[in-house]
Amino acid sequence: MKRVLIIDDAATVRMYHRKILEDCGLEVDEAVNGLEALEKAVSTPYDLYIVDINMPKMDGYRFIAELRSRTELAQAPAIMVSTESESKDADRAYAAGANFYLIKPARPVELTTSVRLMLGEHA
Amino acid sequence: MNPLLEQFVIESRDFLDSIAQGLLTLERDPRDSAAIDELFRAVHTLKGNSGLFAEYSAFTHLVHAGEDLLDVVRDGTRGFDAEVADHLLECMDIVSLMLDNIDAGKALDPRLCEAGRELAVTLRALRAGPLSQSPIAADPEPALAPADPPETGEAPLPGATSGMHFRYIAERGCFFKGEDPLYNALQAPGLQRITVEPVQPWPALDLLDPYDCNLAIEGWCEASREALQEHFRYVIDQVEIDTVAANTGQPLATPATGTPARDAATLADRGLSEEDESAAARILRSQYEVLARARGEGSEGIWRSVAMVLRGLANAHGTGHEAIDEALQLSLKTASGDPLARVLNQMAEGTQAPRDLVDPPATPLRPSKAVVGRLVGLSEEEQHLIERMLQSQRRLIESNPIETSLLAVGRVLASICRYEGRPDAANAVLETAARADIEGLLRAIDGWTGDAPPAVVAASVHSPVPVPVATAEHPRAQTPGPAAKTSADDTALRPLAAEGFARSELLAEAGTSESGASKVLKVSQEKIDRLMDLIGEMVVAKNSLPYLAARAETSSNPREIARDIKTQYGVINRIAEEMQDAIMQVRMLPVGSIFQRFPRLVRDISRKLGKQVELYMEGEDAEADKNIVESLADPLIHIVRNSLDHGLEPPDERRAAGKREIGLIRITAFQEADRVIIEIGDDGRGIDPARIKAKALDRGLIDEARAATMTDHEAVQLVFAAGLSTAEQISDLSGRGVGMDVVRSAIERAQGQVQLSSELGRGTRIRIALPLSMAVTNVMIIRSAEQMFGVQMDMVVETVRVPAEAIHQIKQQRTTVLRGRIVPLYALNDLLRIPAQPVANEAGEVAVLVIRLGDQDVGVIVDDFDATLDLILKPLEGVLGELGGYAGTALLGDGSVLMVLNLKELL
Repeated sequence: MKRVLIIDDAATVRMYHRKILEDCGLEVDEAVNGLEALEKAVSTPYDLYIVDINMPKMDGYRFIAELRSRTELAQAPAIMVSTESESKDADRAYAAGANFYLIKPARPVELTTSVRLMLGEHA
Repeated sequence: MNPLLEQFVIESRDFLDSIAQGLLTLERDPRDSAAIDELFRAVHTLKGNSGLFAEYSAFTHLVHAGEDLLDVVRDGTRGFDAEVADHLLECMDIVSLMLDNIDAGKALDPRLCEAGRELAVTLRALRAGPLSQSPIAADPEPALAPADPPETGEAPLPGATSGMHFRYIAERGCFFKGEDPLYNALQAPGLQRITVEPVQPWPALDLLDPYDCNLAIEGWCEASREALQEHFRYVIDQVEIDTVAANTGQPLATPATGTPARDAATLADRGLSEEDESAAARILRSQYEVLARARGEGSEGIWRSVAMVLRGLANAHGTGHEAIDEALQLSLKTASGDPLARVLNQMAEGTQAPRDLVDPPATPLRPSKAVVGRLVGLSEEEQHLIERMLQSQRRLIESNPIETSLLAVGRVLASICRYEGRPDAANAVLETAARADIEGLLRAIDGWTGDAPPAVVAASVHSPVPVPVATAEHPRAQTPGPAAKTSADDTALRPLAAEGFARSELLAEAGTSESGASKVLKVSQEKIDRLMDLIGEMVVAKNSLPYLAARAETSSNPREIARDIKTQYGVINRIAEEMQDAIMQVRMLPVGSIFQRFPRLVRDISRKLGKQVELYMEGEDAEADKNIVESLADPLIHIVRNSLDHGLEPPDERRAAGKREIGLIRITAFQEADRVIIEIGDDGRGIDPARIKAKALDRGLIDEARAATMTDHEAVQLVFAAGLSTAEQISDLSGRGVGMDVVRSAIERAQGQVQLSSELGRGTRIRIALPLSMAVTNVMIIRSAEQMFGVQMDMVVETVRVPAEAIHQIKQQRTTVLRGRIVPLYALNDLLRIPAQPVANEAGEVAVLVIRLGDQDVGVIVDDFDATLDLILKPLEGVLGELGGYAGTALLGDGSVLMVLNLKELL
């Protein structure tokens, strides 16, 4: 089973994403900030990361940059989710190394399709 | 309620708490940047969470306005002052009330939404307020971008608007009322597309009544439902409004006929603002869809309509439309949509990358990717996402071309290949990525089609389908919210008086319904772990019992068995006690959780009263059972209100009395033995015993003789008497008809005591003592008339044996003297109407249980004392519940029921 890590400081959003992702048969884990996520990823890498931007301790940009700086983790795709639709945020996300940028709240079908696309699994 | 919503409510309440705290912290020190960041994040996350629930868009909208205000405070363009704090606090008050609605499973109260909209306008207006005092920000041009660009800016509010559809069938006679349905519909907020059709088929011309309105107007808007309802408020009975389903929505993308063209052009002619740019991009995109399906002969009408739309857009952009006209002519002449498509390409490119205009791609119109995608069985959603995802990979490569990023890109591209059912292509692209071949990856992305392996597609092929600007792709979340704006403007025009009234009224309601007690316990992992360990021990310990039972059956030595059982009892008993303790720990809550409200309370009330008050709190960490802590909340609030209202003097009066102008309220909590003590003190004017006495006399609470002999301390205690209000004038703060008597009974209900001491001119101090937990009650067992009764230990002062001769009859009352004080005695048998005399022991002494009633000690004569036990007290239920005199019942180890007396009631 493919493993996904949801990184978000808002429990509600984590729950929302978890439900959607579990419903399409993924193993889901959560982290409340970039730092915790990085610790989890280092101990057992995930197949995909869903990353919020604004978080305490370590934000999403920093987390993805850290991810990309570690060869053993770097290959996993990362989707950045943010409430902001401004393109400068998307620019920063890509500059940090994000593979995709979704606007919060992502519609369930949008999220699942993106995730499946990224994991190469046809519905 | 669904779990997600439940989680949302819980988390939101937490955020509201920390936001309120943050605001107060900032008010003390407006330059505390850590506090600002924290505050901003809380508001931001709150907004993000609420965005998940489209039906609460009013909530999101309001919080977003607050977030925007905080954003300018954070980057220093606006100072944080009392005005900002006031409005943000008010904002959170409304949000809190909305949460109450949500929590109750109701829709948001329209009055709240209205109040929220009004407040949002004010909040946005406040953004342009005074500059912060910091020298940097005092720069007249606050163009200094923060080092870390904030996530938000003027961004539209996601979730606040969504795709809405309305169907407006005007009354047949509407023309006679001076209505203009079409004009009205065209003014709808965020209108994207409109169609007009006859309701009934048009009759023959000779039968047509031109004064009869036969129009069904349908429109699609990027707007909130509220905004639309507001817009059509005068004809709301003739309009149906519904949400455009997310998947099938985007009516713009599926124009089945050429008819929308005129309307889109009309829209465009009205002039597209900057913010409507994304709408323009979407219109362009939809034209692509149209053209892709109408390439050859017989599509002339469609080409004309497309050209019309393009002209409209060109007008809106202030560019000429000669090229469009030429292309149309060419298309018509050659019976091919290609020339038009080329123009469309140019226009689309123009919005995205102007450099492409220099060398407009001469690509003939190819079938759109969407069409190709459909051939391999992908849904529109999927194709759409694939396109976006490909663009994303391109941007990632361009902005972060490091090896690991390329590997990640390779994986994503390969995944998409596999998703499309092309595993070979997947391997090819993975290899490209492994070589870190940036050019190769970009080529693969550029040449992505559904039918060829990416690596094979020639590099020169330019992506034919414009993906205009990133923000054009996700209508619901990304379109600027013209609707939200419109409604905000609308409300701004309405009379202000009504607004002020409605809002203050709502907030007054908020004051009365302090947010309900939370049903959720937050427990530290440690406490749960301890419980888990104990359960483990218990499981092991209980396993020894069947073994002992088996031995008892066969053993010839009952004494040995008994000893083993006792040993095992000892083990289980220890575990049970520890479990009990652990469970109680789980229920423990820091009293600080109710202290949290005080800074806000003190701030608001002192501002209202024009008093200056400093609030000092300590010992927030002291813990007590959740129920106890919660039962404290209301009494404490009342006491603090009293202090603010009646205790502390206005500044001038304080000055005159030689005191510091700033009054002090001090709240302290600490644990003392098995009680938690909370002291609330102020340095105000204190309670005047003479005035209290006079008032009590006046109300007939005491008589002249009593008043004459009363000490000042006793007089002051009269504030606890029912029906005594000391304030000269009843204010709207503490004078709600609730007095200190209510405070006292609330605390006593939680088995606590309250004491008050006051010094005239120096201040008042109230001390509340509460048990740590009500779950387990320490009970002393007593015997009387051969029955067992329980008495709660916290009432018992001492147990004494009194010789019969030391009991004196004073009039009807038996008394005795204990440590130099006269103690009235009552026989329990009399109190319970049991016709029996107290039994003395061999030495002729009777057992007297001394209990404390208020300030006085009282003796109760019983037959004998027995052990004390920790019991779980259950209240009497049903018919028995009406029996006074009993605090409850408890089950004893031998299965019998113990009645626990409520001596206060009995006496």
